[in-house]
Amino acid sequence: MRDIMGLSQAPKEGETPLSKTSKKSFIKKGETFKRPQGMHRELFNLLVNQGKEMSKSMEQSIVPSDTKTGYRNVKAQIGFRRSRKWQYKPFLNEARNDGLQLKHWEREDRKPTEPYPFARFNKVLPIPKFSDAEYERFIRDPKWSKSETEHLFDLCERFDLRWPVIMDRFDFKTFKSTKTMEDLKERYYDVVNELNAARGNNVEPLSYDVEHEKRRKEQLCKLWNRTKEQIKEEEDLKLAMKKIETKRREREKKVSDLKRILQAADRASNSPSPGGLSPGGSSHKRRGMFKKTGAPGAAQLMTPTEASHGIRFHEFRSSGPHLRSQEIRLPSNVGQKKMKNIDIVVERLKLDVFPHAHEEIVKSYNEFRSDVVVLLELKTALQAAESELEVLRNRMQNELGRTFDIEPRFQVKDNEIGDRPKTRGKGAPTSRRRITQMLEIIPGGLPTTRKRKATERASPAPELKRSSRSTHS
Amino acid sequence: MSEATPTGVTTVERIRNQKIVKRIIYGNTAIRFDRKREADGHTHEWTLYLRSYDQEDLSKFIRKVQFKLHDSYPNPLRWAEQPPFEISETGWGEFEVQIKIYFVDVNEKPLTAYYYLRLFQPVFQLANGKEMVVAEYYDEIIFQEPTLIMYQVLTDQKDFKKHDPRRFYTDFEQIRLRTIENLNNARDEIGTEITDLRASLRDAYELIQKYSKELDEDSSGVTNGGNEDSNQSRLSTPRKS
Repeated sequence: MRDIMGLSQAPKEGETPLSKTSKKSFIKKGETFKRPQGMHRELFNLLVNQGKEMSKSMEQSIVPSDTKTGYRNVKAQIGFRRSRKWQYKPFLNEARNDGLQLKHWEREDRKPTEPYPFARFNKVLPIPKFSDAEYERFIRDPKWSKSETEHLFDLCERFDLRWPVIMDRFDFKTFKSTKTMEDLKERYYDVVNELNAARGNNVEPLSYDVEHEKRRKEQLCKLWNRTKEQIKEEEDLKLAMKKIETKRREREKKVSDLKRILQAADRASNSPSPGGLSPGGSSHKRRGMFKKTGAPGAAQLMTPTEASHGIRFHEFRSSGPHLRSQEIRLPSNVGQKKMKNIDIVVERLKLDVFPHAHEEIVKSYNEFRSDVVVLLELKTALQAAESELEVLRNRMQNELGRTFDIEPRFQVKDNEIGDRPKTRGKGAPTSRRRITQMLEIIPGGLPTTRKRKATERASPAPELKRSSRSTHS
Repeated sequence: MSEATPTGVTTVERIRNQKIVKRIIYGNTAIRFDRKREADGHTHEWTLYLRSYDQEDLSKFIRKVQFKLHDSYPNPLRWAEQPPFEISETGWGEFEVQIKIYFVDVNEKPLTAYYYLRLFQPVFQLANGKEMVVAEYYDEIIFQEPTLIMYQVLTDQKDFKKHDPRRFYTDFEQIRLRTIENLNNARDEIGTEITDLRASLRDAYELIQKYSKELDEDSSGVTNGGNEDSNQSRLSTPRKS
């Protein structure tokens, strides 16, 4: 029982458990560390036993090792040899020329013959020196006195051609002159170039454009000093410029595209003539004509693509039956605008929208509608050309102070119905242009489906256009 | 004759390089009731038909015709499987009909014609004083490389008589001539305008080239001195010599 309780032998007389504890066995007060309040018990137990003999066995890692010490040592071991000593010694800096004696920490085994390692960073610019004779012969300048020039060169050498410093240190008072930094630089570079030339050094002359530099700096100053309004104004102008440019490019593209069509259509219309001679001839001639002008737009016209034949109708080639009326159908690649214009023209000219399907009529009707498309393309191109001419006229007025008239035959925009150009006189169109007037180039607000009234047509409702069917119930 | 290949696709023997045209008419007549029928609101009786333009028996090469009426009609698909290929109905409004023609040889695809049924015009005076609306449309069926069967029936000239205008209310020939004349006039007129625009366009382009060149030549020369004071967004200004 006593063993269990941990008590030792039977109490001697007069011995109380209290008195058993001998004073010697008190642990020294200094060695008792109190666990800090927030720290975990296990952590504290680990830390408090660091470095003690007893913990060497306790701090075994899970994988025991001979080479690794784990956490047994308090002091880290860095480096594998004895540490070398350092000394605080005076040293010489070769880069200095005033003999200032400074001291620094050196490792004891540094050789005394080694130069000061940072001396090599002292780069010196080679500023030329000139003799009086050289000055008289080569470098004289009305705006610079000799002493002024020498002063400049002295500063250049002292300050390593750092112009802001030189400018600041320049003794303008003594020389009673007001020179800008650009003037100083100009003088220096001119002198250097003259000396090099005189001495026969085969080096590239330094080029310094004074005026350019002055303007550049002035511009930078202005740029820096712009007010907010000015910045905003500039931004707006830039945007406007971009818009104008893109519009102009689009116009030019349209113009050249349709010019190609025009060319090729011309070739096509020339083809009925004998042999293949004249089509080749005329196209060559046209190409040659454009080559001569050499303007950039002409380059795009060098390769005329296939002609605009207007509309390519569906040709029934396969075996099998079909109705003649199916040959009147417009192919699906005809756009809304073209279809709308065809409708307008057919109606205004009082033609049947869906004529009886005789062979001759079908052929003629298709060719007519194809012609409408060709006319439409021509009108579009001419409109673009008219705009381009207007732009050029404005430019001419602004830049060259000249102007020119735009002939009536070039005017296709915004014509009122009934306001037809005269067919006489200079620059007048050669046709009445009645049909041209009917065509709408930008027909904004086109209805995509059309309701058809019963009275409008005297023929079967065509399946040309997918019109809405009238309801019947 | 048609043959079955191992894959099940049949090939049909056709007469090469042969094209046969058959002239047809499709149209309708319509007679107005004396008074509107209260039950369904119908006001007209009409007959829709497909006939030969010439005096030919269409059933030689047409097997049957399907007339697809407006959806509001019960059983809108009506068939005519023997001549005359026509149907009669009553109604109150105009609409588009699909006429599907099936040929005696099933290897020829059926054709669909679209026709707008008319009830209100054009009006003709009948001999008995009454009025009738007759609208007819001339069309042609073109058989390209017909099959053997079709070729035989299409080229059968037995009982073929040419078009007799007295059998029709519509004066097709007059319509044809009038249409051709109108079209020719229109084509002449548009031809002159095309030539006109083309010439104008060509000249306009030459002018554009000319003026562009003049302006470009000018702008690439020495700049005037007035640019120095304004704020310039380009950093490099042209140098003065």
